[in-house]
Amino acid sequence: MRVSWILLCGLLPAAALAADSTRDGLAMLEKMASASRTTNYSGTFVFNHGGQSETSRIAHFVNPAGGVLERLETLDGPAREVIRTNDQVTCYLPGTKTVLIDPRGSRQFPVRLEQIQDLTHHYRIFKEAKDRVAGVECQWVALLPKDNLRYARRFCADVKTGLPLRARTFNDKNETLEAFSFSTLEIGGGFKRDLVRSKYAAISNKQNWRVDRSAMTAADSGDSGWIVQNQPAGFTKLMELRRSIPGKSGTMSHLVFSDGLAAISVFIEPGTKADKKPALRHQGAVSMYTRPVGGYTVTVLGETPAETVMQLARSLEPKATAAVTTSPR
Amino acid sequence: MEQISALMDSELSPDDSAQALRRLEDTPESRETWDTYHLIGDSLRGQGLSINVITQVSAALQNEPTVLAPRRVPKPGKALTFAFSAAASVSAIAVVGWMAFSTGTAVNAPAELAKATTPVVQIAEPQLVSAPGGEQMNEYLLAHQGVSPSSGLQGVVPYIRTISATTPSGR
Repeated sequence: MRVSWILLCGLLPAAALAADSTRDGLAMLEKMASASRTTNYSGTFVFNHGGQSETSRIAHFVNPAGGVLERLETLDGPAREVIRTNDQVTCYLPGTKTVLIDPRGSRQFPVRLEQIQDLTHHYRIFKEAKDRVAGVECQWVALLPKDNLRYARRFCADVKTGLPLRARTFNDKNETLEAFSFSTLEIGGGFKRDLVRSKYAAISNKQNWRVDRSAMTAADSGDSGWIVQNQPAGFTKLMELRRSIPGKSGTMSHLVFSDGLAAISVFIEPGTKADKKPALRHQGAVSMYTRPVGGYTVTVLGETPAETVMQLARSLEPKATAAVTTSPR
Repeated sequence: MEQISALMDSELSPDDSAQALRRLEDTPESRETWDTYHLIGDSLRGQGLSINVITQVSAALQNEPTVLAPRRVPKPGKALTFAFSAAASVSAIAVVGWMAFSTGTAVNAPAELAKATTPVVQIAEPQLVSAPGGEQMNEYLLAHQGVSPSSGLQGVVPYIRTISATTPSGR
């Protein structure tokens, strides 16, 4: 009797605290999701991946109508630049004299409230300690995966605005894959044209840098003609797009899957590369797997463990083939 | 022009706003106007971000455990480029090295890679090792970032991956 009483005393508050912590964590995530739409900021951040660390300057301005003007410039090595104007992202790469232009998803995927709550199916979410980053008080929130199909994330978000000031992605061995942290930061303040003016826009024009522009349209039928037989648990298809392939004729299908936090892109291009072997690559927390399927090359990448993108890549089939082996849903 | 002014002042209906924003995207002149309106509307403040903290933060990040993978096998690039087009050059973006999985411990020698065949049965798939992504990841990364929820959380920050992939090798 006494034992159970002690247990009750110990466990009940603990459970209640855990629920509180999850609720607070979710509230913080919600705040984070809106921060980039509502907050002006400028500063410098350090991005660390694979033992390499890079410092960049960033400026982010929004207007009440939802417009966004954003600039990122690397401060180490050759200055590379990313300019975002509303839904268009332009990368200037002076090293190779290349300009990459992408019509950022015509529909964005800010983490919405219902999506945030759905995250608890796949992640244990809780509030952790308070901290201070770049002179700003922030609140740590942890998202620890319930399976090995996704990575763990930790964010320290500005207590006032929700802006993520420090972020960390790590694997099941608790090894950090990517780390991000502001080193200097000014939150709020008015628009400063100079902070978002492109360094390379004029010169790239004058010198005729190579421009890779990816045009994008939503797939007419929303049906790429491909089916995923063994979708990684918790990932649902957000959309199907058709994209032009820079430097080539024809289009490729682009399927997007997400668990609400991590996303996986599937690109299906006609034709196979000279060597038809599957290959795996990574960049920070992003894994990319390429394999030929029929007369197509399938490239799957996402900020997930390699197993997840490989599972998706291997279970992708043209619908015609799929119909023979399984009955359609 | 008028519409943009109205847009700035949030006087447009959601539909009109969307239309004006689309116009902003399409025409550089409109964008210029948008910027200028911002410039006019907002008081200019002094600039000057101190970057002397950067070294500290950078050092702090470095000191935290940023372990990545087993040790890099010398010159893995050559053996791996087979998987991509002839033009593909593995620009070693990091000390990332080789990442073994399936067993989670073993690291394949490049020679074993050559034996890898397209899987017929999933379980029978030979082990694959991962190489650091080079420039050939760029266009895919760029396209991916635009549709990833993490871009909604961190704005343009994740794009650092795209431009990092072009860092000259040898670092």
